[in-house]
Amino acid sequence: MRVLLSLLLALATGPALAAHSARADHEVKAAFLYNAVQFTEWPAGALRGDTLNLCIAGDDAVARALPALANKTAGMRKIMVVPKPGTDHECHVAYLADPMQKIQTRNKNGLLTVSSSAGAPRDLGTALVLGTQDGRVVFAVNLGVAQNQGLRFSAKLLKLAHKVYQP
Amino acid sequence: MSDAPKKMTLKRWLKSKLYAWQRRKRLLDQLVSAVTAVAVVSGFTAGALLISVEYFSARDRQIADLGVQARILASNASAALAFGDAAAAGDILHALRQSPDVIGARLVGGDGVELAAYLADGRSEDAMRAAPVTIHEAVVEDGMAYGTLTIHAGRDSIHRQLLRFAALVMGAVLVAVLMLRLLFQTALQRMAKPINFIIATMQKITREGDYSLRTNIRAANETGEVSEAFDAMLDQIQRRDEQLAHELIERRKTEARLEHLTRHDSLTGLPNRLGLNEALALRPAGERRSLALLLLDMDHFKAINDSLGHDAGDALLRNTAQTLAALMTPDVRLFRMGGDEFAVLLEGGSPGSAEALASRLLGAMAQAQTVQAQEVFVTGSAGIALYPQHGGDLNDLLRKADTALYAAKSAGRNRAQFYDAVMAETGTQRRALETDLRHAIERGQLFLVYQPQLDLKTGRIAGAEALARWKHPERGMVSPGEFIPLAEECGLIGALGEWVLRTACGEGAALLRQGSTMPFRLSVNLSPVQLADPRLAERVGAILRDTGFPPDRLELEITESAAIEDLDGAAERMRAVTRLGVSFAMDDFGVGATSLSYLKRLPLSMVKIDRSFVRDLPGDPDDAAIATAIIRMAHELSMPVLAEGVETPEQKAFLRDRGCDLVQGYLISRGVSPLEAALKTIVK
Repeated sequence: MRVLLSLLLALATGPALAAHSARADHEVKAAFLYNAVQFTEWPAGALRGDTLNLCIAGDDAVARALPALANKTAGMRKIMVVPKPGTDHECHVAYLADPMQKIQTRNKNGLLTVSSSAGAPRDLGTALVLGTQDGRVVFAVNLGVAQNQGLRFSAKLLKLAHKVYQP
Repeated sequence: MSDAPKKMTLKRWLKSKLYAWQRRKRLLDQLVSAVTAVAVVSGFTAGALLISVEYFSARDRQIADLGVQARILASNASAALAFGDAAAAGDILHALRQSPDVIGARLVGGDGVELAAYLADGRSEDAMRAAPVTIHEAVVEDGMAYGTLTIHAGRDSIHRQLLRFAALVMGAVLVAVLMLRLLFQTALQRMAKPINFIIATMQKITREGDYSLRTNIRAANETGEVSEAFDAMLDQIQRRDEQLAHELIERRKTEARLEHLTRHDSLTGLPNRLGLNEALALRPAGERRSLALLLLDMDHFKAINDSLGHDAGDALLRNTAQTLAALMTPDVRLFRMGGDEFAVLLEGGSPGSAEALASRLLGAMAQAQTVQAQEVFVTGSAGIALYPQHGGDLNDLLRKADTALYAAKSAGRNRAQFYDAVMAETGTQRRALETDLRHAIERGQLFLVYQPQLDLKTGRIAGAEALARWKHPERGMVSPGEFIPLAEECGLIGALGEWVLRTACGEGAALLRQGSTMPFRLSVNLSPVQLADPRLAERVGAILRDTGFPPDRLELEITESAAIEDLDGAAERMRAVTRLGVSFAMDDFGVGATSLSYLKRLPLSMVKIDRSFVRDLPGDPDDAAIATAIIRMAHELSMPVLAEGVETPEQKAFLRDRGCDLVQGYLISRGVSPLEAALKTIVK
């Protein structure tokens, strides 16, 4: 019975695992970023236009995978990819290839910073850190950074987080 | 086809059983059964309805609950699906273990790949596939669809709940039905109690016939009305019953009274003629035992009755009846035949014993009696007929006894007489005589004689009394003592009286017309029938006119008994006659129980002393005293007195000494014809 059950479980979960393995980690991370945006609440008035601006600072594998998210919808908005953002740009999500890099944007808050680590996610000073653990993509959340930017993460997101850094 | 008749029979059998059961059961129980049946049907129908409604609503509730659960789970699972986190998704699905009905669940991503599955403990994949309830819920977050949540559930808990619910509902219905039945029965019994009481009362009334019972239920509803109506009906029945009983009693009384009356005489209480008939009819057929029938009557009863009144006569009859009844024995029985006639039946008597009995009875009758404070002396006469010598049946015996009685009367009264064949001959002759008398007047067989009346003061004949005589063509002279009573009995006395008056006046007038200068007065007897005639004055006046006889020479003689019958009427009629100039004399004075008081009330000019008081003069001191008293009293009323039946010079001398005015009798002359001869009688 137990054998049968585990077999069935394996059968049931098999395709998901296969999907994961089929794609490269940076692609999964880009998808994770997109998914995380869905479970993030921006402060009132932060999202003024009809686009959600995804700014990409620096360059790595993940940064190269992100433009694929352009024109995908996040709630009522379309994702607009902004490469090499400047002070005249408004950024709602900013992927920092280098977590230490500071970017200057037009908006002073309401910026979800995302970074990626090679192994398991660590506290890199960004609100969201993408990493891998046991061959699977996972993420960590820094609540202090997010709160500074006036952002709130959905409890569902927090439940799935590999680690949640409290302020 | 062959089943149809069988079915019908079964149906009919069931029906008949049902009707029989209904007939046996009391109405109350039938009602309770009917109500119980209705309650059971409606209760269980309602229960079933409730259960089915509950079942469907439980199903709806389950689906709604599962839907809610699915939505919550789907919402929770969105992130897990989004991030492809199978472990988290499995955890989320695992929350379904709290829902017992859920057999299993699947979380499938948007790409159709199953992320997680859940199977409840002890459940199989097959059970999941066969689950009756399946809920699909799309996993959507912020407008993004991530996949689908499918929950498979069973209805076991619903069924368990439903079973409990059904048991509860049906139990409640059962309890409700039982309580309803109990309540209804109690209420009905309370309602039926007065009705049962009324029924019990009715049965008691039927059983005991006591209509005085009442139900007396004073309720302001139908029971009260039934009771009231029933009681009112009982009132009527009781009233009718009592009335009927009363009427029945009255009728029996009346019948008994009538029965008694038909066999008894109301005055004396003695058995009557019918009683006598029955007494003889009751004798066994062929009875040869001898029998004596005595007929008794009172002498001169009519005179006593007339002079003292009917009440006195009745009292006398009652006294006599008592006197006679006191002498009766079982073998001697007394009956009243009517009038003053009594019959005595002597069983097994010899002629000797019958005669002895007759003399005992007559002796008892002859005792002086006091009637209405007056002493009355009566005597009786008796006729005796013997069975079987004189007759074979009652009528025969009665006729013979009557003949014997008549003979006893004829022989002078106050005696008993046996029947003999000679009497029968006499009786037959008497009937023949009666017929002859009817023709005597028209055939000129009657004529008048005149008996002179002597004036004791002057010594001359003052007048004469006209007396009728009958010369029978075959039998010769018939005594007035025989044919006058006969005329009275057969109703000829009126005609006879009228003939005498007319003839006397005619002969008197003829004498006067011949030039007679004798100052005579003519006395003519007036019968009671004539005196009672309202047209008396008219008739007398007509005769006087027709004959031309002077009224002042006519004197009409009346008897006490005729006058006293209707004293005022008689006085009135007599006054009418006196206005014509005619005068009246009182004949036979002293015979009746005379009171002088009525003499004053009648217009009388003369009193005639009856011959019975004169007969024993002057030797009998009583008669002497009576005659003297009559003369004195009449004189005090200024009336002259004439003494009748004077036969000896001694009598004449005595009467003259006592101041009597006139005498009449054989001493002077018998009745002679013609009138002139009487008036010219030479006085010795």
